Amino acid sequence: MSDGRITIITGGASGIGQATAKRFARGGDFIVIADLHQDAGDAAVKEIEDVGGRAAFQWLDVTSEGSVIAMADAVERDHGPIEVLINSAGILHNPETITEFSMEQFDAVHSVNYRGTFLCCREVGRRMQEQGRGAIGNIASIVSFVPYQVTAYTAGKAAVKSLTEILSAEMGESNVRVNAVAPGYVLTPAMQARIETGHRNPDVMIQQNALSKLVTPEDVGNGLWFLCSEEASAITGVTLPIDCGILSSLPYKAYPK
Amino acid sequence: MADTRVILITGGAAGIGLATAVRFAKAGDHVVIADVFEDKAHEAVTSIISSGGKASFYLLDVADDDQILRVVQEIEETEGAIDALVTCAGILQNPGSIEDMPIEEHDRMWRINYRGVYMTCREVGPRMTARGHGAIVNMHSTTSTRPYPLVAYGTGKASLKMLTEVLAAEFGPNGVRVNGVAPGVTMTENMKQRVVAGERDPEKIIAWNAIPEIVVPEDVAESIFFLCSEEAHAISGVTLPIDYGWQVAVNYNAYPR
Repeated sequence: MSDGRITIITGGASGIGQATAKRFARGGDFIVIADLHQDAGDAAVKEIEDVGGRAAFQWLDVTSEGSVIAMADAVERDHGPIEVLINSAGILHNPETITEFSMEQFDAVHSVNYRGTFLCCREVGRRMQEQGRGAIGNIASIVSFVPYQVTAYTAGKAAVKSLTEILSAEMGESNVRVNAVAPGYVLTPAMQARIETGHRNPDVMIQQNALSKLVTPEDVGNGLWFLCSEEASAITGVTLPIDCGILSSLPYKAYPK
Repeated sequence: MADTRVILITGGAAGIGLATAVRFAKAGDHVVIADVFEDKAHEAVTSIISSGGKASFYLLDVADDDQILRVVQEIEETEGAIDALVTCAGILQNPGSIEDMPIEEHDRMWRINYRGVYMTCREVGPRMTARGHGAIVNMHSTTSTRPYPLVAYGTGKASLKMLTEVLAAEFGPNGVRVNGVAPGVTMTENMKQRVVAGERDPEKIIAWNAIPEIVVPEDVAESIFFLCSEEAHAISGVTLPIDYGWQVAVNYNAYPR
């Protein structure tokens, strides 16, 4: 149990963000779901409150510097000092080669996945440094370590890992810890929808994983909870894969025989 | 707690191994300490039992293949199936050049730090895969990924990281997870003696970490406990640094200006 920390979760209205919000609420934190989608955000707050948790919604567009600053100001003013920030606002795109990739799409993905994380870390991290405590959890990916044919997504997630490492070195002296999780194939509602429409084959993903199953959003929430807990007070600058072992199993299984 | 798990901890009589034994015992697990140091191990077992925990001791020198085979067999017959294996048995070296390292010392270090873990995993792992579940945590180090002037220790720890990844891929399809923790310089009893003897300066250790603190064995124990828990059931093949950000700070702070 925490002693009621103020925890901001960007992109907390759905997917990994929502599962993480529930996990932190269960641990006793006050959750601020900061999201672009008001209706889904309100519903996520209600789900938390229905089981006795505490949460509020704060509108946020991570692509806008003004919106990020306004969000951080509003949370501090309305709820108090921010102790935990989870940057799970992110978007995916379909596989495409770099030569076919449009700059509009690159900019759209980059402005949320990397630049949005950068802005939120900067604005909230600044405040945590002043307090002399705080924990940040970023969402990197297995593609932070290895290449995949999702150009803008991969470059952005590699950059999120690098950002995590730089910030942890920069903010360590102020007792602010910065870590990341690197999920593999996660069975989010969005992934479930792609499976149902035939865009993704779950058997292929399961077969690629060492543990022969898919990661759930709750698994990622558990990893983030641990990294932001007192038990992990000596951990900073790490990117923890939560991938059912795919980083190990892909090359292992690719051995030509 | 659900069922009592049987946790085999090699090198569990002192240092990180002991802190790990205490952590698992506190959660209600049955801790089996396998160590060469009989007196210290008995002390540890007695202390755990007097605090209401379950613990047993088996004399084990991981440099001896036959002993590993025999002791693992005995443990499974007497205490029950091993649910988790934590390989903490290991030795340290003093810093120095390759020329100054007698090959006998190099071989002894590899025999214990790498080969001992390899043999223990080889003996326990297949028992776990046959049962369809299990968790292994190996003791890596920050030297698994970054060079220190520890030519026998560092190379062995780098190899352990690869062993963990290979085994994660090999054992994964049968429900066995394999991970590693990578502690930075840790304030074990052994290290405290070195500090008292004037061989190590804690201020220098602190100065290199992103967060100005020193890792204690309990920090590492918490992460090992997490990696063996249900909350980490999607995590396999990872190396989790517990180093107060040494790995990030050592590069970040070296920027020439």
